[in-house]
Amino acid sequence: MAYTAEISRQNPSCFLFLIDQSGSMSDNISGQGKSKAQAVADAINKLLSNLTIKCAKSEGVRDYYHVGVVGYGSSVGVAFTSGLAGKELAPISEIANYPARIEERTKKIDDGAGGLIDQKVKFPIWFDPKASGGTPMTQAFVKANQIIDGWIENHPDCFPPTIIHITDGESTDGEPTEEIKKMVSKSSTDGNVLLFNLHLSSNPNAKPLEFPSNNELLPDKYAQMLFASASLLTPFMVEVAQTSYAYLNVTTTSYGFILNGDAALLIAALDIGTRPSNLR
Amino acid sequence: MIKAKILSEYKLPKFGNTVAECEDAFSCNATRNSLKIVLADGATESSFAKEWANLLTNDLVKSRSFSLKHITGRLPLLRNQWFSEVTKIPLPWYAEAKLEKGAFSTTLGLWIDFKKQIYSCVAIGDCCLFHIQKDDMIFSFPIFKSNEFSNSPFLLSTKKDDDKELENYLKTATKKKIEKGDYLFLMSDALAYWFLNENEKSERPWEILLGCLEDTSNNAFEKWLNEMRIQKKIKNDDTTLLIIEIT
Repeated sequence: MAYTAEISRQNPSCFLFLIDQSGSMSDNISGQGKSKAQAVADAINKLLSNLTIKCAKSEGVRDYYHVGVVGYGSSVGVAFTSGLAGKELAPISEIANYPARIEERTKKIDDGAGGLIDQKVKFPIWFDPKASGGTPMTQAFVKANQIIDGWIENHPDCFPPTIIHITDGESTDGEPTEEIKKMVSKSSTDGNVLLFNLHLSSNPNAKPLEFPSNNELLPDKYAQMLFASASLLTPFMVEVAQTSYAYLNVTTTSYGFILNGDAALLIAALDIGTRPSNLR
Repeated sequence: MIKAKILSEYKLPKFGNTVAECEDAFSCNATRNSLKIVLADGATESSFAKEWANLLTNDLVKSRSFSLKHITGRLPLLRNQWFSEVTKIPLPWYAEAKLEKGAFSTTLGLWIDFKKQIYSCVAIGDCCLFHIQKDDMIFSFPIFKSNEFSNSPFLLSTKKDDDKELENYLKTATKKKIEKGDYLFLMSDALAYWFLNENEKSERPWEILLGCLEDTSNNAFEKWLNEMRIQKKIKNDDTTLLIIEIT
């Protein structure tokens, strides 16, 4: 059965994020006063922090995952900086140890007597928002294909890599469909690569839509293309979504596609997409 | 008067992990008149769960009671001990964040009274006890059927907020009669699921486990367990097994 490989330090899996950093990502995300680029940077920073904490054990961080980020805008390339600069895929323990900086933020917590008090928390930052240039989506997938080929060659029996692609959807370097097809046709012995497309569309007719089962409500060819290439959610992802995000109405026929979600939905989608199965 | 003999004490990590990474724990306390054993299975999802499981077993095995009142009375002290132990050295940001989520563990306690020829047990979570008499399983605790296992049992937590529901999840069985020739099997959840499942199919899983004891020179139990894990008949999880013979 596909998508059942145990994820362990001996047989890790990987996540690769493809982030649109084109000029149009400076537009505001739906319903909020911050840019798409800022919302994406916040969501990825939060996700990397959560993933690290999930893999943390008493003795340190266990390398259940390797993670990479490819940014595309004025150029296409690896988006890690500082201690991770140049790394196409970095083990999660290195990600834990090399954030670009650690900020101190304040959150409200229950004081145990019916009130709220401020608590200082450390908030690691790996990425800052970036929005400039065109949308070379085809080149981004060429780069991603090359990274995933290398990963699968070295980890043939891994839980299949998960690709999370966040874009406003209008490629400026030609039709990316062939490169995307190449990506989703790759497989380990445990199943095909999983592709999530999170589409932050600029189309005024695009209504928010999460994990649809069909293409009925999609407003344009960009959304159609991104929906068509997205993977069906794995049974474990469906279970996570139904347990932790019941309001999303995810079913066994839902695809890894989001259209114009707000920042909270972006974070929920990343959480679902990065919970492939139980860890050992 | 009966006596109790511990025939085996196995604590094995998940296949692929080191012995030091095993988050199960158990403690035994034998006197002239009684034997107490406490078993705990620290939750993989939390960090410092092994330390929490060790504190729970070492404390409960010395206690005079397995009552809810006694356990809830000990928890504040144990939580302070756990926190002091795990924060002895400065922690990196991710360990601090994980610490805030707390550590979790199941607990199963057994207390055999030799004079009265009875035993009592207490459980939170899904570590199990099985009582075998005359080649038949006559009692199963705290889970009776294999389909009662879940991925998220209630666990003893280092966070005090979680105590509110403790009384709903703490299970006890008292004054259970026991005879010479009986066996008690204590085990963590992965093996217990298999054990109950086999018994439901009218197999005799205790015979297989007792059979492993006969071949002590070659780690027979560990070899058998790993083979069962490879065949996906037993989940790859930390596994503890204690077998007690009543003599």
